[in-house]
Amino acid sequence: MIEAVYISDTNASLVFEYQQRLSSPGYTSIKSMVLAHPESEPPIIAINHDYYVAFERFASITISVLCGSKSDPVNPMIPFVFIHRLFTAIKEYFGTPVSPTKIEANSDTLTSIMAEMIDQTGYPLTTDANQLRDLIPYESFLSKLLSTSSSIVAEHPAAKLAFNQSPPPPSQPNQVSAYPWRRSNVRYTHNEMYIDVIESIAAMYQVVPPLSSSSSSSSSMARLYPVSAHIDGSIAFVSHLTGEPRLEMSFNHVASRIQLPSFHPCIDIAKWDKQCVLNFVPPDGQSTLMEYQLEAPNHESGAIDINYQPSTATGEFELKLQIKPTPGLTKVDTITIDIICAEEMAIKPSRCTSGDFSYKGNGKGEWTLRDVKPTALPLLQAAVINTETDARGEPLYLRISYQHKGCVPSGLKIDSIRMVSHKGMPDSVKPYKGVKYITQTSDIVIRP
Amino acid sequence: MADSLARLGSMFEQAKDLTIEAAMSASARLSETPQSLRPQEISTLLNSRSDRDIVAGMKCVVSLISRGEDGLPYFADVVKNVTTHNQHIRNLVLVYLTRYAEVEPDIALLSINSIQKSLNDTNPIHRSRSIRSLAGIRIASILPILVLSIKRTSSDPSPVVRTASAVAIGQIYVDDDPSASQLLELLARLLADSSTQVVAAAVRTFHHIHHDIDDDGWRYIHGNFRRICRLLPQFDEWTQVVAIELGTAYCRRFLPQPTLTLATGEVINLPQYYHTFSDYTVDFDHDLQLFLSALKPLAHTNSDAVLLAATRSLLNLAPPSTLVSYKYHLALTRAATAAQSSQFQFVALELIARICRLDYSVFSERFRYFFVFPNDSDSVASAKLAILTTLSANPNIIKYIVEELKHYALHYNNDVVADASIRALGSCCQVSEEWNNHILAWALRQVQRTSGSLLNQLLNVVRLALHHKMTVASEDPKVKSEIVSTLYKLSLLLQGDMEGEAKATMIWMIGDMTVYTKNQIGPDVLRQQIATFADQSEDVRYQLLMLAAKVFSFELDRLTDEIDDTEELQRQLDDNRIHNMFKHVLYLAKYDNSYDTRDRARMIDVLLNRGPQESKLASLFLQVPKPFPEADIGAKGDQHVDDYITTVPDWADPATLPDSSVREEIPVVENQITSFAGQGDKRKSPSPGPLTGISSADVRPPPAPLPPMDKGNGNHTGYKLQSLDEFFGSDDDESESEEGSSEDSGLSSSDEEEDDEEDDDDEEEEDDDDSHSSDESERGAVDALSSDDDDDSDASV
Repeated sequence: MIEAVYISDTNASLVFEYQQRLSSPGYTSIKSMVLAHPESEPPIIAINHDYYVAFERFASITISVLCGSKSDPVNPMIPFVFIHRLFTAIKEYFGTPVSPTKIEANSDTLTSIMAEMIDQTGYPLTTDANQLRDLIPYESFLSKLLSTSSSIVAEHPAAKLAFNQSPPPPSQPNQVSAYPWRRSNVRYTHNEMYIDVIESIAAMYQVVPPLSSSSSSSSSMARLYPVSAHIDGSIAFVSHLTGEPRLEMSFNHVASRIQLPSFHPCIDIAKWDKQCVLNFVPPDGQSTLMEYQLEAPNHESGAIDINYQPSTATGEFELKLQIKPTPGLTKVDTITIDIICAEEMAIKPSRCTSGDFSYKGNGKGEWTLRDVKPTALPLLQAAVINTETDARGEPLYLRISYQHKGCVPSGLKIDSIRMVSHKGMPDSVKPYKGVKYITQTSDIVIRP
Repeated sequence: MADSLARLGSMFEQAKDLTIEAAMSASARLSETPQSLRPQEISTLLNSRSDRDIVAGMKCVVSLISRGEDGLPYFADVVKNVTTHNQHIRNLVLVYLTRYAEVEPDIALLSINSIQKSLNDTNPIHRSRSIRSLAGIRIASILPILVLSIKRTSSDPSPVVRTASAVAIGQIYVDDDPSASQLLELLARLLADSSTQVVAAAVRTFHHIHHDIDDDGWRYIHGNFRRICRLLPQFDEWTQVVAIELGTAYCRRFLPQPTLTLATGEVINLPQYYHTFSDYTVDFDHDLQLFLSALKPLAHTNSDAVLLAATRSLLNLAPPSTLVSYKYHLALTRAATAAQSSQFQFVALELIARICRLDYSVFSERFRYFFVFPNDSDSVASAKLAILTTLSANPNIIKYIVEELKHYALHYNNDVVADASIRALGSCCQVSEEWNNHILAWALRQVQRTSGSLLNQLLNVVRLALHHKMTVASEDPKVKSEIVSTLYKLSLLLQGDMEGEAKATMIWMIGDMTVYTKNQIGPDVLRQQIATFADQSEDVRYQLLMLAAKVFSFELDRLTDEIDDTEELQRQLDDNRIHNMFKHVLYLAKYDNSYDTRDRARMIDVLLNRGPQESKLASLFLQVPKPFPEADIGAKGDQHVDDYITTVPDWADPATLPDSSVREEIPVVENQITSFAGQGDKRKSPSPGPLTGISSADVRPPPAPLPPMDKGNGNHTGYKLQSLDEFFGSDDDESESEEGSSEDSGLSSSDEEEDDEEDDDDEEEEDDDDSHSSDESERGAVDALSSDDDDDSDASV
C-alpha cells in the first residue's frame, strides 16, 4: 500500500526519498501537485483511481507518502499515522529540531530505518522508535563523546548514588527487548524522569445582560453563561531510567472525572479502570503516556476570571480580568485577547490599565499582557463605533488565550510516582523525578 | 556547594544542546557531498579493503538514490560487499539489492548464496533481515530456494526470525504458483505460533494475501479465530488494524448476524436506522461477542488508524448501542474536538455524523462538544454543523442547537459558517411544528435586515418552513391563513429596495404558492412589479414572467370551470385584469435580451394562448405540486473514509454457516528450541541447524502437505523430561533427517511440541538456561563453519 516516501523541505525541494520498487515514481513527478495543493484542503492528493499522495507539513520538512490500493479500500488513516511515527523516529534518531541538513547527512541510516519500517508489500512493519533503535543502532561519534562527558557532569547531588553502582556491563547491540516500546539494555548513569501535565481549555460563554427589572446590585451586572467548556490534556513523559523499571503514577481525585483517555501501549488499562492509576514500564526517552478530555469543573475558564460588561449608556464595553489565587500559580506568562467586531466597526479604547491594546483595522483589536501577577486587576474599556454612521455597537466576540505554568485548569495533580519494581536497576539508585504543570489555552470565547 | 554543582550541571546541559546543534550542522556540511565524487571514485571506495571506505562508498550510493538519482551503475561494486561482516554496510547492501535485483538478475543471483549462508548467523536480527531481504529479491527463479529457506526459518528458535518468515511469505506469495499451497501450510503453522509477535506477522501476511486465495483459505483462520481475538489487544497497532479488518470480514462471512429483541418481544435483524428503536437488547453469537469484547480495550488506543478500524468494525457488526457501552463515543468525541487539529479530526467528525444518522441518541448527551468555535476552520465547522443538524432530531436538545445556529448565522463574521448554519436551521424546521414556527418567525425578522447570500439562504429557510407547514397541515384553515399572511408580509418587502437574486427567489416563492393561496397574493405583486419590468435584473424578469404565467393559468382554470361557452370565456378574458397583465408581460418578455426569457415566453405563449386544450397542459406544467425539498446538509465526505467503512462482505446466509465447532482452537505450535530461548535468554539465542545445500532436486516433487497439527502429539514426550544429551541427540537426528530426505516429516516431528501447560513457555525459565544457550551458540558457530566447507559439494548434489 505504501509505495514511496518523500521528505521535502519548506521550499518543496527533495531532501530524501525511498521507493518500494524501481517502478515507483520519483518525487519530481508529484512535486508540482504538492506545491499546487491549497492549504485549506485536506492533505490528500488523488493521482488517479488507484493512487494518492497523503502528506503532512511539519515545521521544517514535509513528509509525503504515495499510497496505492489494489483491491479493497485500505484504512485511510494508515498513511497519516505512519507519517507521524516516521517523524518521531527521525526526531529520536537525529535529535530535535529536525532539519533537512540532518536528514541529508544521515540518508544512509534513514534508508535502513525505512527498510525496517515498511515491508516489501508496503505495509508498515516496525515503527516504534525504541524498537527501531534495537534493530538499527545509530550512534554518531559526537553523541558518544557527549554521553561520556555528560556522565562526568552527572555529579549532581540527586544522582550522586549512581556512582556507587558497578559499571554496567557493555550492552550487546541488536537484541530485542521484552517490551516492544523499550530498547533493550538501557543504561543511564543519571537516572531521571520528567513528567509534563499539559492542558488546554476550550470554552464559550454567552454574556447574559443584567435583568433591568431587578433592583438588587448583584444582578445589575452582566453574567457569563457557559455554552460549552471542556479541557483537553496530555501527560508527556521523559524517561532516562536503567533496566526495565515498572512505575506507578497516581493522581488526585480529578482523575476519576477523566473520560476515556487514550493510552500509550505501555499502560496497564485494567489498573486504570480499577484505581485510576497509570501502571507502566516506561518507553525510553520521550513519549506521551495519556491524552484525555474532561468537562471543565463548574464550566470555569481556568485560572483567569473574566468579567465582561456590555456597553451601557456610555457606549463602552468593559473587560476585567482577575487571576484566581491557585496553589502553584505565581504569574500568568501571557494573555492575549482578540476583540473581533464587524468589519465596518472600529474599536476606540478609552482606558487600559495594563498591557498594550492595539487596533489592527477591519474591526479587529488585540490586547496583550505579559507576566500578570495574581494581584493585578487588568481592565480595558473601549467603544465599538461604526466608522460611517458613528453608531455604537458591540463586538461580535472576544477570544482569550493565555499560558501559565504551575497548575492546570482541571486541577489534576500527580499525587505520587513510585517504582513498583526496578528490574535491572540497582536498589540504591533513587531516580530524580520532575513534574511540571503547563496550561496553554487558546480558545476561550466570550460572545456579547 | 550542591547548588553551584547543580548550576554547573545545567550549564553543561545547555552547552551540550548547543554543541549538538553546531556539530550536527557542521557534520552535515563536512560530510562528503556525493555529487562531488565521480562514479569511478565511488567504485574505488566500494572496492576498497577497508570498511571505512566501503561505508563511505555505500553512503554515497544510498545518498544518490535518496535524491532520486539512479544507483544502478554501481550494482556489481555494491553487491560484492554482501559478504561483509559490518552490519551497517550489510543493511545498506541488502536494501540496495532488493531494489535493483530485478534489473540485474544475473549478478544478483551470485549474492543469493551468501545471504542464504547468513541465515545461520548467531544473531536472530541478522537472520531475520536476511530472510526478509531474500524474499524481497524479485527474481522468479529463486522462488523454490526461498520456499525452502522460509520453511527452515519458520521453525527458527527465535520469534524474531519466525516473524520475519511470516513477513517473507507475504512478499513472495504468488497465487497460481506451485509453491502457494506449501507457503500457505507454513503460514498456517505460524498463525498458531506460541509467540504473539509471530502470530501478529502471520495475521498481517494472511490479510495481505487473503484476496488472492479462495474461500477455502479461511479454514486457516477458523481454528485460530478465538486465539487471535484474545491476542488482539497485545498486537502492535498495525497488526491490530488488519486483525480487526480480518475479524470483521470473518464475522460477516462465518457468524450468524446478531438479532435485536425489542421491548415488544419482537426479534429482528439489525435494521438500517435505529432512531425508532430506543429500547432493545442484542443477542450476539458467542464468537461474535468474543471478537467484539476484544475491541473494547482498543477504545483506549493512541493510534488513529486502530480507532477508525475498530469503529468501522462495530458499525458493521453491532448496533450503535455497543459503541456507547464500549465508550467509543467518548474516544471519537475526544479525537474530533482535540486541541490540535489533524487529519483524523475530520475523519472522526465524519464518523460521528455517520453514527448520528444511524442513531442520534449515541451523541445526544455530548452535543455541546460540537458547538462551532469562531476560529474553527471552514471544513471543521461544516462537519460540526452537519452533526448538530442530525442531533437536532432529538426534541430535548433542539432548543440549544437552534439558539447556537442562530448565533453562528449572525455573529461569526464568516459567510461559509453562516450559510451552513442557516441551511441547518432549515432542516431543523422539520422536527416539529413548534420549531417550524419559531424558525420561520426568526427568519422573517432577519430577512428584513440582511443581504447577500445570507438573505438567499434565509429565504430558503422561509420556503422550507412554509412548505413544511403546507405538507403537515394543508387543510387547517388557521395554518392556511398563517401562510397567506406570511406571504403577504414577504410581498410587502418586495416594494422596498432589494437585491435582484433575493427578489427573484421571493417572486418565485409567491408564484409557487399560487394554487395554495388561491391567487390571493400573486396578482397584486405582479401589478406592482410590472411598471418597473424593464429596470429589473434578468433573473427577476424571468421570474416575473413565470409568476404571470402561473397567476394567469390559475385564473384561466377558474374561468373555464365557471364558463363552458368558449365565446363567453373569450369575452371574459378580454376584460380580465390578470389576462391583460399576463399579455403585457408576455409581450415584454418576447423582446427580452435574455435567450432564456424569450424562449420561455414563447413556450408559455403556446401553452396558454391556444384555447382550453393546451391550458390543461399548462396548468399541469405550471401548478404541479413540488415534493418536499431535501435539505442539503453536511460537508462533502472523504471518499476514502466512506469506501473504507462501507466495503464489507455481506452477512452470510444462515443456511451456509459452518458449525461453530470449526472454531475449536487448534493447538498452539511450540518450537522445540523456543523453550530454551525464552525470556531469560535474551542475550544469546541459538542458531538454527545448518542450512544444507539446496538443489533443484529437493524442490521439484510437489511438496507433501503437512500432516495435521495434532498428529505428532503422542510421539513425543515433553521437553522437560529430556536430558541435555537427549535433546541435542534428537535435534541432530532431526537435522540429519532433513539433510537426508526432501520429505517434510522432519519438520513436523521437530515442532509438534505441543503441551497446553507450556503455552506460556517463555515464563518458565530453567535454571540451566545459560548453559544451554552457550552450548547452542557454539554449536551454531560450528555448524555455520561446516556448512561453509560443504558449500561446493552441496551445490552439486
